[in-house]
Amino acid sequence: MSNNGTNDWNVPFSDITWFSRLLRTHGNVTNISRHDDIVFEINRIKQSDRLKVFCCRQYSMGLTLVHRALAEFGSLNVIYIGGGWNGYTPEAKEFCLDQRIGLYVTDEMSGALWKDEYWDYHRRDKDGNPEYFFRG
Amino acid sequence: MAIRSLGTERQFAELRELKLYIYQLLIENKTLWQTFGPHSEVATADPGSNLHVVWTLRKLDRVIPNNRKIINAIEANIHLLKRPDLEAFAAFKVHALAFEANQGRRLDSYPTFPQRFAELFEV
Repeated sequence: MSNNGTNDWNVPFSDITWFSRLLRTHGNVTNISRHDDIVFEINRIKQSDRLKVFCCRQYSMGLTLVHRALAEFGSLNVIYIGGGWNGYTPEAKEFCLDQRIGLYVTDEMSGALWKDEYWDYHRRDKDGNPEYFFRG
Repeated sequence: MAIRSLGTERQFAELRELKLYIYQLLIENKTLWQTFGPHSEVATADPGSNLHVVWTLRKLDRVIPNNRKIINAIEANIHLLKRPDLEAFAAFKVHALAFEANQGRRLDSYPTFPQRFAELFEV
């Protein structure tokens, strides 16, 4: 079942271990398991729910790649795409919000894991407007 | 002067002078990309780093204006270029304008920097 060790998304092992550490040290996450090399299953303490989290490194996460991830791994609760150099297209974000899938870079990931509506976390700019990683 | 017109006033007597001007701008952009960009050592090693903030700033205040200077300086001196240079320049312009568009609204993909352009404009 685990199938860990290789993946078709070119996610380096260093990124997987980095993300695993983020999950292990998060105050609302427990009971972590990993399968298919880049899919994590986690329990959240405050919400008493279980989330399926996909970990990749994708410079531009567009709608086609979101569909690919869903086709390969089935329903996902969260798609994590790596550090702040990366981002998602407005179309991909809109689709994920509609489907209640969290689509995040590192800067958003920790906050999302605390939120009841884990798919709808965003930071805000100085004027209080939602801030997304749409810029290249 | 608006970013769009940067470099339009530059006139060069010889192709070599134009290439030297272009090459200096390319070197600066390459150094910024290697130091702060998405394939930099920090970006590769640390997904938690906030160095991407510096990359965002440098793209806006140096890389994109430099690209505009390159496009405008070449177009103002286009008569100096031979066919291989013209073809490489066309590829660079396509890349530079898509790169610029990507800053406002992230694209699924865009043409990456054409290495052939750097090779031809190396002095």
